[in-house]
Amino acid sequence: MPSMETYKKLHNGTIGQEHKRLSDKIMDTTFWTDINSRVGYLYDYYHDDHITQLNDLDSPNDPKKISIDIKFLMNTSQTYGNDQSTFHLQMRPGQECNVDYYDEFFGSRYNSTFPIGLYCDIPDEQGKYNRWLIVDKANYNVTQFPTFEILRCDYVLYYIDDHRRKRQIAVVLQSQSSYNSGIWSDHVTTIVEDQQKFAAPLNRDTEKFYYNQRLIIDNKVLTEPRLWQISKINRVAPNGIARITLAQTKFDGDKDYVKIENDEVIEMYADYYVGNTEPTDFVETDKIRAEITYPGKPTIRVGSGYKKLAVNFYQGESEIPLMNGQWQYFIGNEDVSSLIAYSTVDLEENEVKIKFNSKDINYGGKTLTIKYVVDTDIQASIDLNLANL
Amino acid sequence: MTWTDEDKQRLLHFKEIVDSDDIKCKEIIKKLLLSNKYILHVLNNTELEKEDAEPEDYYLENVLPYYVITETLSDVKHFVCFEISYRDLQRYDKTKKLLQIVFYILINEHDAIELDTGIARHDLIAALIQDQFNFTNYFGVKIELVEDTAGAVDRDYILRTLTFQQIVDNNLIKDGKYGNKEVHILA
Repeated sequence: MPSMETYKKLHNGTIGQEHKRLSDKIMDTTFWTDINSRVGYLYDYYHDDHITQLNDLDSPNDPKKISIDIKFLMNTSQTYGNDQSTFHLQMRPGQECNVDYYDEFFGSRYNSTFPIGLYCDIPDEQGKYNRWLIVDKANYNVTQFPTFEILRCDYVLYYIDDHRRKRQIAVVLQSQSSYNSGIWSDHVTTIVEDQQKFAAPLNRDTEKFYYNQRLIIDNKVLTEPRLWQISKINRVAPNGIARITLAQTKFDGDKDYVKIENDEVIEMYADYYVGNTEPTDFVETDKIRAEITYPGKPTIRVGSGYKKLAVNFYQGESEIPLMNGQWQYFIGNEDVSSLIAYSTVDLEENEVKIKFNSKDINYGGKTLTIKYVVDTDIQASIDLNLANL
Repeated sequence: MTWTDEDKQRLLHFKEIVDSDDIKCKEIIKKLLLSNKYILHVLNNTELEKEDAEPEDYYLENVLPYYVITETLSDVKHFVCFEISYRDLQRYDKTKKLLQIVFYILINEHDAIELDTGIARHDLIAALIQDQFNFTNYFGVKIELVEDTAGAVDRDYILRTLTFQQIVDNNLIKDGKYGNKEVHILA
Protein backbone atom coordinates (compact mmCIF):
# COMPACT_ATOMS: atom_id res chain seq x y z
CA MET A 1 0.00 0.00 0.00
CA PRO A 2 1.55 3.32 -1.03
CA SER A 3 2.36 5.79 1.67
CA MET A 4 0.70 9.21 1.84
CA GLU A 5 3.89 10.76 0.48
CA THR A 6 3.86 8.41 -2.50
CA TYR A 7 0.17 9.15 -3.11
CA LYS A 8 0.86 12.90 -3.05
CA LYS A 9 3.75 12.45 -5.47
CA LEU A 10 1.57 10.37 -7.78
CA HIS A 11 -1.35 12.79 -7.72
CA ASN A 12 0.53 15.99 -7.06
CA GLY A 13 -1.43 17.31 -4.07
CA THR A 14 -3.97 16.41 -1.44
CA ILE A 15 -7.02 14.23 -1.89
CA GLY A 16 -9.15 17.37 -1.97
CA GLN A 17 -7.00 18.82 -4.71
CA GLU A 18 -7.29 15.59 -6.61
CA HIS A 19 -11.07 15.71 -6.27
CA LYS A 20 -11.02 19.24 -7.62
CA ARG A 21 -8.86 18.21 -10.53
CA LEU A 22 -11.15 15.32 -11.37
CA SER A 23 -14.24 17.48 -11.00
CA ASP A 24 -12.77 20.03 -13.36
CA LYS A 25 -11.99 17.30 -15.83
CA ILE A 26 -15.51 15.88 -15.62
CA MET A 27 -17.03 19.34 -15.94
CA ASP A 28 -14.88 20.06 -18.96
CA THR A 29 -15.58 16.72 -20.62
CA THR A 30 -19.31 16.78 -20.00
CA PHE A 31 -19.69 20.50 -20.65
CA TRP A 32 -21.95 20.06 -23.67
CA THR A 33 -24.21 17.47 -22.02
CA ASP A 34 -25.87 20.18 -19.95
CA ILE A 35 -29.01 21.80 -21.38
CA ASN A 36 -27.73 25.14 -20.02
CA SER A 37 -24.58 25.05 -22.13
CA ARG A 38 -24.38 27.58 -24.90
CA VAL A 39 -21.91 29.58 -26.93
CA GLY A 40 -21.86 33.21 -25.85
CA TYR A 41 -20.10 36.13 -27.51
CA LEU A 42 -17.95 38.58 -25.56
CA TYR A 43 -17.15 42.15 -26.55
CA ASP A 44 -16.93 45.62 -25.08
CA TYR A 45 -18.44 49.00 -25.93
CA TYR A 46 -15.64 49.85 -28.37
CA HIS A 47 -15.88 46.59 -30.31
CA ASP A 48 -19.55 46.79 -31.04
CA ASP A 49 -21.08 47.83 -34.34
CA HIS A 50 -24.65 47.76 -33.00
CA ILE A 51 -24.47 49.76 -29.78
CA THR A 52 -28.18 50.54 -29.67
CA GLN A 53 -29.39 47.01 -30.35
CA LEU A 54 -30.25 44.96 -27.29
CA ASN A 55 -31.96 41.87 -28.67
CA ASP A 56 -31.90 39.55 -31.66
CA LEU A 57 -28.27 40.24 -32.47
CA ASP A 58 -26.42 38.42 -35.21
CA SER A 59 -23.52 37.57 -32.94
CA PRO A 60 -22.07 34.44 -34.63
CA ASN A 61 -21.46 36.43 -37.81
CA ASP A 62 -19.93 39.43 -36.09
CA PRO A 63 -16.12 39.27 -36.43
CA LYS A 64 -15.60 41.66 -33.50
CA LYS A 65 -17.30 39.35 -31.02
CA ILE A 66 -15.34 36.56 -29.37
CA SER A 67 -17.02 33.22 -28.75
CA ILE A 68 -16.84 31.52 -25.40
CA ASP A 69 -18.39 28.33 -24.00
CA ILE A 70 -20.73 29.15 -21.15
CA LYS A 71 -23.45 27.71 -19.01
CA PHE A 72 -26.41 30.00 -18.56
CA LEU A 73 -27.75 29.34 -15.08
CA MET A 74 -30.74 30.85 -13.38
CA ASN A 75 -29.96 31.85 -9.84
CA THR A 76 -32.95 32.18 -7.56
CA SER A 77 -31.18 32.08 -4.24
CA GLN A 78 -30.72 35.83 -4.26
CA THR A 79 -31.44 38.75 -6.49
CA TYR A 80 -28.51 40.95 -7.22
CA GLY A 81 -30.48 43.50 -9.12
CA ASN A 82 -33.25 43.85 -6.53
CA ASP A 83 -35.91 43.64 -9.14
CA GLN A 84 -35.12 40.96 -11.67
CA SER A 85 -34.15 37.31 -11.32
CA THR A 86 -30.47 37.16 -11.82
CA PHE A 87 -28.67 34.70 -13.96
CA HIS A 88 -25.21 33.31 -13.64
CA LEU A 89 -22.73 32.68 -16.35
CA GLN A 90 -20.38 29.77 -15.81
CA MET A 91 -17.25 29.28 -17.84
CA ARG A 92 -15.23 26.15 -18.44
CA PRO A 93 -12.86 25.27 -15.61
CA GLY A 94 -9.56 27.06 -16.07
CA GLN A 95 -10.99 29.29 -18.79
CA GLU A 96 -8.32 31.86 -19.64
CA CYS A 97 -9.08 35.41 -20.78
CA ASN A 98 -9.63 35.13 -24.52
CA VAL A 99 -10.41 38.81 -25.14
CA ASP A 100 -7.03 40.26 -26.05
CA TYR A 101 -7.92 43.86 -25.21
CA TYR A 102 -9.44 43.05 -21.82
CA ASP A 103 -6.33 43.81 -19.81
CA GLU A 104 -5.76 47.16 -21.51
CA PHE A 105 -9.38 48.31 -21.32
CA PHE A 106 -10.41 46.79 -17.96
CA GLY A 107 -7.85 44.72 -16.08
CA SER A 108 -4.97 47.13 -15.69
CA ARG A 109 -7.16 50.24 -15.80
CA TYR A 110 -9.86 49.27 -13.30
CA ASN A 111 -8.29 46.26 -11.58
CA SER A 112 -11.23 44.19 -12.72
CA THR A 113 -11.36 40.47 -13.30
CA PHE A 114 -12.11 38.89 -16.66
CA PRO A 115 -14.88 38.99 -17.92
CA ILE A 116 -16.50 41.63 -15.65
CA GLY A 117 -17.48 44.75 -17.58
CA LEU A 118 -17.90 42.99 -20.91
CA TYR A 119 -21.13 42.49 -22.76
CA CYS A 120 -22.04 38.90 -23.55
CA ASP A 121 -24.55 37.94 -26.22
CA ILE A 122 -26.35 34.81 -25.03
CA PRO A 123 -28.89 32.87 -27.08
CA ASP A 124 -32.33 32.42 -25.54
CA GLU A 125 -34.56 29.36 -25.90
CA GLN A 126 -35.42 30.35 -29.45
CA GLY A 127 -31.76 30.79 -30.31
CA LYS A 128 -31.96 34.57 -30.50
CA TYR A 129 -28.94 36.36 -29.14
CA ASN A 130 -29.66 38.97 -26.47
CA ARG A 131 -27.24 41.38 -24.86
CA TRP A 132 -26.25 40.80 -21.24
CA LEU A 133 -23.79 42.67 -19.06
CA ILE A 134 -21.36 40.76 -16.84
CA VAL A 135 -21.51 42.71 -13.60
CA ASP A 136 -19.74 40.77 -10.85
CA LYS A 137 -18.27 37.51 -9.63
CA ALA A 138 -20.79 35.05 -8.21
CA ASN A 139 -18.39 32.86 -6.29
CA TYR A 140 -20.40 33.15 -3.10
CA ASN A 141 -22.73 30.49 -4.44
CA VAL A 142 -20.51 28.12 -6.35
CA THR A 143 -16.87 28.12 -5.42
CA GLN A 144 -16.06 25.04 -7.43
CA PHE A 145 -16.37 26.62 -10.85
CA PRO A 146 -15.99 30.28 -11.80
CA THR A 147 -19.40 31.89 -12.20
CA PHE A 148 -20.42 35.48 -12.79
CA GLU A 149 -23.50 37.61 -12.23
CA ILE A 150 -25.08 38.76 -15.47
CA LEU A 151 -27.94 41.20 -16.03
CA ARG A 152 -29.94 41.67 -19.19
CA CYS A 153 -29.32 45.01 -20.88
CA ASP A 154 -32.74 46.60 -21.07
CA TYR A 155 -32.18 50.25 -21.92
CA VAL A 156 -30.22 52.41 -24.35
CA LEU A 157 -29.07 55.54 -22.60
CA TYR A 158 -28.74 58.72 -24.62
CA TYR A 159 -26.34 61.33 -23.27
CA ILE A 160 -24.10 64.20 -24.27
CA ASP A 161 -20.43 63.56 -23.54
CA ASP A 162 -17.79 65.99 -22.27
CA HIS A 163 -16.89 66.93 -25.85
CA ARG A 164 -20.54 67.84 -26.49
CA ARG A 165 -21.11 64.81 -28.71
CA LYS A 166 -24.26 62.70 -28.86
CA ARG A 167 -23.62 59.26 -27.39
CA GLN A 168 -25.60 56.10 -26.72
CA ILE A 169 -24.79 53.14 -24.54
CA ALA A 170 -26.64 49.95 -23.58
CA VAL A 171 -27.19 49.76 -19.82
CA VAL A 172 -29.13 47.83 -17.20
CA LEU A 173 -31.80 49.76 -15.35
CA GLN A 174 -32.24 48.81 -11.71
CA SER A 175 -34.77 50.00 -9.21
CA GLN A 176 -33.52 51.92 -6.23
CA SER A 177 -35.14 51.69 -2.84
CA SER A 178 -36.90 54.95 -2.26
CA TYR A 179 -38.60 55.74 0.99
CA ASN A 180 -40.68 58.56 -0.34
CA SER A 181 -43.78 59.03 -2.42
CA GLY A 182 -41.86 60.35 -5.39
CA ILE A 183 -42.69 63.98 -4.70
CA TRP A 184 -41.58 66.48 -2.12
CA SER A 185 -43.81 69.27 -0.93
CA ASP A 186 -42.72 72.16 1.18
CA HIS A 187 -45.07 74.91 2.25
CA VAL A 188 -44.86 76.61 -1.14
CA THR A 189 -43.98 74.19 -3.91
CA THR A 190 -44.08 70.51 -4.83
CA ILE A 191 -41.25 68.94 -6.78
CA VAL A 192 -40.43 65.47 -8.09
CA GLU A 193 -38.24 63.30 -5.92
CA ASP A 194 -37.96 59.76 -7.19
CA GLN A 195 -34.82 57.67 -7.52
CA GLN A 196 -33.44 55.35 -10.14
CA LYS A 197 -30.24 53.45 -10.82
CA PHE A 198 -28.42 51.91 -13.73
CA ALA A 199 -25.34 49.78 -14.30
CA ALA A 200 -23.07 50.33 -17.29
CA PRO A 201 -19.71 48.93 -18.29
CA LEU A 202 -16.95 51.16 -16.98
CA ASN A 203 -14.94 52.57 -19.85
CA ARG A 204 -13.18 55.74 -20.94
CA ASP A 205 -16.56 57.35 -21.59
CA THR A 206 -18.71 56.14 -18.71
CA GLU A 207 -15.94 56.92 -16.23
CA LYS A 208 -16.59 60.56 -17.10
CA PHE A 209 -20.18 60.61 -15.83
CA TYR A 210 -20.29 63.46 -13.34
CA TYR A 211 -22.42 64.66 -10.45
CA ASN A 212 -25.50 66.61 -11.53
CA GLN A 213 -25.22 65.32 -15.09
CA ARG A 214 -28.76 65.34 -16.43
CA LEU A 215 -30.21 62.45 -18.40
CA ILE A 216 -33.56 61.64 -19.93
CA ILE A 217 -34.51 58.11 -18.95
CA ASP A 218 -37.97 57.12 -19.98
CA ASN A 219 -39.90 54.95 -22.35
CA LYS A 220 -40.32 56.52 -25.71
CA VAL A 221 -43.70 57.89 -24.77
CA LEU A 222 -45.04 61.10 -26.21
CA THR A 223 -45.99 62.64 -22.91
CA GLU A 224 -43.53 64.71 -20.93
CA PRO A 225 -40.24 62.85 -20.45
CA ARG A 226 -38.70 61.98 -17.09
CA LEU A 227 -35.48 63.78 -16.26
CA TRP A 228 -32.84 62.54 -13.85
CA GLN A 229 -29.58 63.85 -12.54
CA ILE A 230 -26.70 61.78 -11.33
CA SER A 231 -26.53 61.83 -7.55
CA LYS A 232 -24.13 58.97 -6.88
CA ILE A 233 -21.32 57.48 -8.90
CA ASN A 234 -19.87 54.13 -7.87
CA ARG A 235 -16.91 53.06 -9.98
CA VAL A 236 -15.22 50.62 -7.62
CA ALA A 237 -17.72 48.05 -6.41
CA PRO A 238 -17.48 45.96 -8.42
CA ASN A 239 -14.42 46.94 -10.43
CA GLY A 240 -15.22 47.31 -14.12
CA ILE A 241 -18.81 48.46 -13.68
CA ALA A 242 -20.21 51.96 -13.24
CA ARG A 243 -23.23 51.91 -10.95
CA ILE A 244 -24.98 55.23 -11.19
CA THR A 245 -27.74 56.44 -8.87
CA LEU A 246 -30.13 59.07 -10.16
CA ALA A 247 -32.38 61.59 -8.50
CA GLN A 248 -35.38 62.79 -10.41
CA THR A 249 -35.28 66.35 -11.64
CA LYS A 250 -37.31 68.59 -13.90
CA PHE A 251 -37.61 68.75 -17.67
CA ASP A 252 -36.33 72.03 -19.11
CA GLY A 253 -37.79 72.77 -22.51
CA ASP A 254 -35.01 75.26 -23.27
CA LYS A 255 -32.23 72.75 -22.73
CA ASP A 256 -33.60 69.26 -23.13
CA TYR A 257 -34.56 67.76 -26.43
CA VAL A 258 -36.81 64.97 -27.55
CA LYS A 259 -36.69 64.22 -31.25
CA ILE A 260 -40.06 63.13 -32.56
CA GLU A 261 -40.73 61.97 -36.09
CA ASN A 262 -44.09 60.65 -37.30
CA ASP A 263 -45.45 60.55 -33.76
CA GLU A 264 -42.53 58.43 -32.66
CA VAL A 265 -39.76 59.37 -30.26
CA ILE A 266 -36.44 58.87 -32.03
CA GLU A 267 -33.96 60.08 -29.43
CA MET A 268 -33.92 61.88 -26.07
CA TYR A 269 -31.09 64.04 -24.79
CA ALA A 270 -30.89 66.16 -21.66
CA ASP A 271 -28.84 69.36 -21.83
CA TYR A 272 -28.94 69.20 -25.61
CA TYR A 273 -28.82 72.97 -25.87
CA VAL A 274 -26.17 74.61 -23.71
CA GLY A 275 -25.55 78.23 -24.55
CA ASN A 276 -27.65 77.77 -27.70
CA THR A 277 -25.11 75.22 -28.89
CA GLU A 278 -26.26 71.91 -30.29
CA PRO A 279 -24.09 68.84 -29.77
CA THR A 280 -22.42 67.12 -32.67
CA ASP A 281 -22.79 63.53 -33.76
CA PHE A 282 -20.22 61.12 -32.44
CA VAL A 283 -18.23 59.64 -35.27
CA GLU A 284 -15.74 57.02 -34.26
CA THR A 285 -13.08 57.34 -36.90
CA ASP A 286 -9.45 58.36 -37.09
CA LYS A 287 -10.48 61.48 -38.95
CA ILE A 288 -8.77 64.60 -37.63
CA ARG A 289 -11.07 66.82 -35.63
CA ALA A 290 -10.60 70.16 -33.91
CA GLU A 291 -12.10 71.32 -30.65
CA ILE A 292 -12.30 74.79 -29.11
CA THR A 293 -12.28 75.09 -25.32
CA TYR A 294 -12.67 78.01 -22.94
CA PRO A 295 -12.64 78.49 -19.17
CA GLY A 296 -15.79 79.14 -17.16
CA LYS A 297 -19.29 79.60 -18.54
CA PRO A 298 -20.24 79.77 -22.25
CA THR A 299 -20.76 83.53 -22.11
CA ILE A 300 -18.84 86.59 -23.22
CA ARG A 301 -19.64 90.09 -22.12
CA VAL A 302 -20.66 92.75 -24.59
CA GLY A 303 -18.22 95.64 -24.48
CA SER A 304 -15.57 94.46 -22.09
CA GLY A 305 -13.77 91.48 -20.66
CA TYR A 306 -11.55 89.04 -22.45
CA LYS A 307 -12.30 85.36 -22.96
CA LYS A 308 -9.47 82.96 -23.59
CA LEU A 309 -10.00 80.35 -26.28
CA ALA A 310 -7.82 77.39 -27.12
CA VAL A 311 -8.03 75.06 -30.09
CA ASN A 312 -6.79 71.49 -29.92
CA PHE A 313 -6.62 68.81 -32.57
CA TYR A 314 -7.35 65.13 -32.17
CA GLN A 315 -7.01 62.05 -34.28
CA GLY A 316 -9.22 59.40 -32.76
CA GLU A 317 -8.75 60.01 -29.05
CA SER A 318 -5.09 61.15 -29.35
CA GLU A 319 -4.12 64.80 -29.39
CA ILE A 320 -2.02 65.93 -32.36
CA PRO A 321 -0.05 69.17 -32.96
CA LEU A 322 -1.68 72.46 -33.90
CA MET A 323 -2.64 72.94 -37.52
CA ASN A 324 -2.52 76.39 -39.04
CA GLY A 325 -5.91 77.92 -39.52
CA GLN A 326 -7.93 81.06 -39.07
CA TRP A 327 -10.23 82.27 -36.31
CA GLN A 328 -13.59 83.48 -37.60
CA TYR A 329 -16.48 85.15 -35.77
CA PHE A 330 -20.15 85.25 -36.73
CA ILE A 331 -23.49 86.30 -35.35
CA GLY A 332 -25.93 84.31 -37.44
CA ASN A 333 -24.52 84.72 -40.95
CA GLU A 334 -23.03 88.14 -40.26
CA ASP A 335 -19.22 88.23 -40.03
CA VAL A 336 -18.43 90.24 -36.90
CA SER A 337 -14.63 89.88 -36.98
CA SER A 338 -14.35 93.68 -37.03
CA LEU A 339 -15.94 93.79 -33.56
CA ILE A 340 -13.48 91.36 -32.03
CA ALA A 341 -10.34 92.57 -30.26
CA TYR A 342 -7.55 90.02 -30.02
CA SER A 343 -4.62 89.43 -27.78
CA THR A 344 -2.03 86.68 -28.00
CA VAL A 345 0.47 88.12 -25.54
CA ASP A 346 1.98 85.46 -23.26
CA LEU A 347 -0.27 82.79 -24.77
CA GLU A 348 0.48 79.43 -26.33
CA GLU A 349 0.30 79.32 -30.12
CA ASN A 350 -3.06 77.52 -30.04
CA GLU A 351 -4.61 80.17 -27.78
CA VAL A 352 -6.18 83.57 -28.30
CA LYS A 353 -7.91 86.05 -26.04
CA ILE A 354 -10.90 87.79 -27.54
CA LYS A 355 -13.09 90.67 -26.51
CA PHE A 356 -16.42 91.63 -28.04
CA ASN A 357 -15.60 95.26 -28.67
CA SER A 358 -19.00 96.88 -29.04
CA LYS A 359 -21.02 99.09 -26.76
CA ASP A 360 -24.27 98.17 -28.49
CA ILE A 361 -26.33 96.42 -25.83
CA ASN A 362 -28.61 95.01 -28.53
CA TYR A 363 -25.97 92.35 -29.06
CA GLY A 364 -26.84 91.03 -25.61
CA GLY A 365 -28.76 87.76 -25.81
CA LYS A 366 -27.39 86.94 -29.26
CA THR A 367 -25.07 84.07 -30.00
CA LEU A 368 -21.49 84.56 -31.10
CA THR A 369 -20.26 81.66 -33.22
CA ILE A 370 -16.50 81.21 -33.15
CA LYS A 371 -14.80 79.02 -35.71
CA TYR A 372 -11.26 77.88 -36.24
CA VAL A 373 -10.98 76.89 -39.87
CA VAL A 374 -8.09 74.90 -41.31
CA ASP A 375 -9.91 73.84 -44.44
CA THR A 376 -13.40 72.73 -45.39
CA ASP A 377 -12.92 69.34 -43.73
CA ILE A 378 -11.15 70.38 -40.57
CA GLN A 379 -12.79 73.09 -38.55
CA ALA A 380 -14.05 73.64 -35.05
CA SER A 381 -16.97 75.75 -33.94
CA ILE A 382 -18.44 76.85 -30.65
CA ASP A 383 -21.20 79.24 -29.66
CA LEU A 384 -20.91 81.73 -26.82
CA ASN A 385 -23.80 83.69 -25.40
CA LEU A 386 -23.32 87.40 -25.68
CA ALA A 387 -24.43 88.91 -22.41
CA ASN A 388 -24.75 92.39 -21.02
CA LEU A 389 -23.19 91.23 -17.80
CA MET B 1 -46.11 87.95 -27.85
CA THR B 2 -43.31 89.62 -29.74
CA TRP B 3 -40.06 90.52 -28.06
CA THR B 4 -38.28 93.52 -29.49
CA ASP B 5 -34.92 95.20 -28.95
CA GLU B 6 -36.88 97.98 -27.27
CA ASP B 7 -38.25 95.50 -24.75
CA LYS B 8 -34.74 94.30 -24.07
CA GLN B 9 -33.60 97.88 -23.56
CA ARG B 10 -36.40 98.33 -21.06
CA LEU B 11 -35.10 95.48 -18.93
CA LEU B 12 -31.48 96.53 -19.24
CA HIS B 13 -32.52 99.97 -18.10
CA PHE B 14 -32.95 98.58 -14.58
CA LYS B 15 -29.19 98.34 -14.31
CA GLU B 16 -28.95 102.10 -14.39
CA ILE B 17 -32.05 103.56 -12.79
CA VAL B 18 -32.29 104.07 -9.09
CA ASP B 19 -35.65 102.41 -8.43
CA SER B 20 -34.12 99.06 -7.73
CA ASP B 21 -31.30 99.32 -5.25
CA ASP B 22 -30.88 95.55 -5.55
CA ILE B 23 -29.89 95.57 -9.20
CA LYS B 24 -27.92 98.80 -9.06
CA CYS B 25 -25.86 97.83 -6.02
CA LYS B 26 -25.22 94.30 -7.24
CA GLU B 27 -23.87 95.65 -10.52
CA ILE B 28 -21.41 97.81 -8.62
CA ILE B 29 -20.39 95.02 -6.25
CA LYS B 30 -19.86 92.59 -9.10
CA LYS B 31 -17.55 94.99 -10.93
CA LEU B 32 -15.59 95.77 -7.77
CA LEU B 33 -15.14 92.16 -6.69
CA LEU B 34 -14.07 91.04 -10.15
CA SER B 35 -11.58 93.88 -10.36
CA ASN B 36 -9.94 92.83 -7.11
CA LYS B 37 -7.19 90.40 -8.08
CA TYR B 38 -6.40 89.67 -4.44
CA ILE B 39 -9.89 88.36 -3.72
CA LEU B 40 -9.89 86.29 -6.90
CA HIS B 41 -6.48 84.86 -6.02
CA VAL B 42 -7.50 83.94 -2.48
CA LEU B 43 -10.64 82.23 -3.84
CA ASN B 44 -8.04 79.76 -5.15
CA ASN B 45 -9.88 78.33 -8.15
CA THR B 46 -6.97 76.26 -9.45
CA GLU B 47 -8.91 75.21 -12.52
CA LEU B 48 -9.44 78.79 -13.65
CA GLU B 49 -5.91 79.80 -12.65
CA LYS B 50 -4.50 76.96 -14.70
CA GLU B 51 -6.55 78.17 -17.67
CA ASP B 52 -5.28 81.70 -17.09
CA ALA B 53 -8.92 82.74 -16.99
CA GLU B 54 -10.12 86.31 -17.03
CA PRO B 55 -11.70 87.87 -13.92
CA GLU B 56 -15.17 87.63 -15.44
CA ASP B 57 -14.86 83.86 -15.63
CA TYR B 58 -15.07 83.83 -11.83
CA TYR B 59 -18.57 85.31 -11.99
CA LEU B 60 -21.21 82.64 -11.30
CA GLU B 61 -18.34 80.21 -10.59
CA ASN B 62 -16.97 81.59 -7.32
CA VAL B 63 -18.63 85.00 -7.14
CA LEU B 64 -22.39 84.71 -6.91
CA PRO B 65 -25.05 87.44 -6.73
CA TYR B 66 -27.22 85.22 -4.52
CA TYR B 67 -26.80 83.09 -1.44
CA VAL B 68 -27.79 79.63 -2.55
CA ILE B 69 -25.61 76.91 -4.02
CA THR B 70 -27.56 73.98 -5.35
CA GLU B 71 -24.92 72.23 -7.44
CA THR B 72 -23.43 69.09 -5.92
CA LEU B 73 -19.97 70.13 -4.85
CA SER B 74 -17.58 67.32 -5.62
CA ASP B 75 -14.44 69.48 -5.68
CA VAL B 76 -13.00 71.86 -3.12
CA LYS B 77 -14.38 75.27 -4.06
CA HIS B 78 -14.89 78.60 -2.29
CA PHE B 79 -17.54 81.25 -2.80
CA VAL B 80 -18.27 84.88 -2.18
CA CYS B 81 -22.01 85.50 -2.34
CA PHE B 82 -23.68 88.86 -1.90
CA GLU B 83 -27.21 90.03 -1.28
CA ILE B 84 -28.94 93.36 -0.84
CA SER B 85 -31.82 93.94 1.52
CA TYR B 86 -33.47 96.46 3.75
CA ARG B 87 -36.03 96.14 6.45
CA ASP B 88 -35.75 99.22 8.62
CA LEU B 89 -36.27 102.86 7.94
CA GLN B 90 -34.27 105.46 9.72
CA ARG B 91 -35.92 106.34 12.97
CA TYR B 92 -38.19 109.38 12.71
CA ASP B 93 -37.45 109.80 9.01
CA LYS B 94 -39.46 107.81 6.50
CA THR B 95 -37.54 109.30 3.61
CA LYS B 96 -34.43 107.31 4.55
CA LYS B 97 -33.86 103.59 4.76
CA LEU B 98 -31.04 101.45 6.11
CA LEU B 99 -29.89 99.51 3.08
CA GLN B 100 -27.76 96.49 3.86
CA ILE B 101 -25.20 94.80 1.68
CA VAL B 102 -24.38 91.35 2.97
CA PHE B 103 -21.38 89.30 1.85
CA TYR B 104 -21.43 85.58 2.58
CA ILE B 105 -17.94 84.10 2.38
CA LEU B 106 -18.09 80.30 2.10
CA ILE B 107 -14.80 78.47 2.48
CA ASN B 108 -14.34 74.73 2.15
CA GLU B 109 -12.58 73.50 5.26
CA HIS B 110 -10.25 71.26 3.23
CA ASP B 111 -8.52 74.41 2.00
CA ALA B 112 -9.24 76.69 4.92
CA ILE B 113 -5.80 78.25 5.27
CA GLU B 114 -4.26 80.57 2.70
CA LEU B 115 -0.77 79.14 2.37
CA ASP B 116 1.18 82.29 1.40
CA THR B 117 0.13 84.01 4.59
CA GLY B 118 -1.08 81.31 6.98
CA ILE B 119 -4.27 83.32 7.49
CA ALA B 120 -7.64 81.55 7.58
CA ARG B 121 -9.06 82.02 4.09
CA HIS B 122 -12.47 83.30 5.22
CA ASP B 123 -10.81 85.91 7.40
CA LEU B 124 -8.48 87.01 4.62
CA ILE B 125 -11.29 87.42 2.08
CA ALA B 126 -13.35 89.26 4.69
CA ALA B 127 -10.41 91.61 5.33
CA LEU B 128 -10.01 92.21 1.59
CA ILE B 129 -13.72 92.98 1.19
CA GLN B 130 -13.66 95.22 4.23
CA ASP B 131 -10.61 96.98 2.83
CA GLN B 132 -12.30 97.46 -0.52
CA PHE B 133 -15.76 98.54 0.64
CA ASN B 134 -15.71 99.98 4.14
CA PHE B 135 -16.13 103.76 4.35
CA THR B 136 -16.34 104.06 0.57
CA ASN B 137 -19.04 105.78 -1.43
CA TYR B 138 -19.20 103.54 -4.47
CA PHE B 139 -22.98 103.39 -4.02
CA GLY B 140 -23.41 107.13 -3.76
CA VAL B 141 -23.27 107.40 0.00
CA LYS B 142 -20.80 106.11 2.54
CA ILE B 143 -21.18 102.52 3.66
CA GLU B 144 -20.02 101.12 6.95
CA LEU B 145 -19.41 97.65 8.25
CA VAL B 146 -22.00 97.06 10.97
CA GLU B 147 -21.78 93.32 11.52
CA ASP B 148 -19.13 90.66 11.08
CA THR B 149 -20.05 87.13 12.19
CA ALA B 150 -18.51 83.71 11.69
CA GLY B 151 -19.95 80.23 11.75
CA ALA B 152 -20.31 77.01 9.84
CA VAL B 153 -23.06 76.15 7.39
CA ASP B 154 -22.33 72.43 7.55
CA ARG B 155 -19.46 70.04 8.19
CA ASP B 156 -17.61 71.24 5.11
CA TYR B 157 -18.18 74.95 4.82
CA ILE B 158 -16.96 77.78 7.01
CA LEU B 159 -19.03 80.92 6.77
CA ARG B 160 -18.17 84.54 7.48
CA THR B 161 -20.89 87.11 7.02
CA LEU B 162 -20.08 90.78 6.55
CA THR B 163 -22.94 93.28 6.68
CA PHE B 164 -22.40 96.78 5.42
CA GLN B 165 -25.01 99.46 5.87
CA GLN B 166 -25.80 102.71 4.16
CA ILE B 167 -28.50 105.29 4.69
CA VAL B 168 -30.18 106.03 1.38
CA ASP B 169 -33.31 107.64 0.06
CA ASN B 170 -36.41 105.54 0.54
CA ASN B 171 -38.57 105.34 -2.57
CA LEU B 172 -38.49 109.05 -3.20
CA ILE B 173 -38.60 108.77 -6.92
CA LYS B 174 -40.20 106.43 -9.36
CA ASP B 175 -38.90 105.67 -12.77
CA GLY B 176 -41.34 106.10 -15.60
CA LYS B 177 -40.62 104.92 -19.09
CA TYR B 178 -37.00 105.36 -19.99
CA GLY B 179 -36.00 107.66 -17.23
CA ASN B 180 -39.00 109.97 -16.96
CA LYS B 181 -38.73 110.09 -13.26
CA GLU B 182 -41.43 111.19 -10.86
CA VAL B 183 -40.99 112.42 -7.34
CA HIS B 184 -42.89 110.25 -4.93
CA ILE B 185 -44.35 112.13 -1.98
CA LEU B 186 -44.47 109.96 1.11
CA ALA B 187 -47.74 110.15 2.97
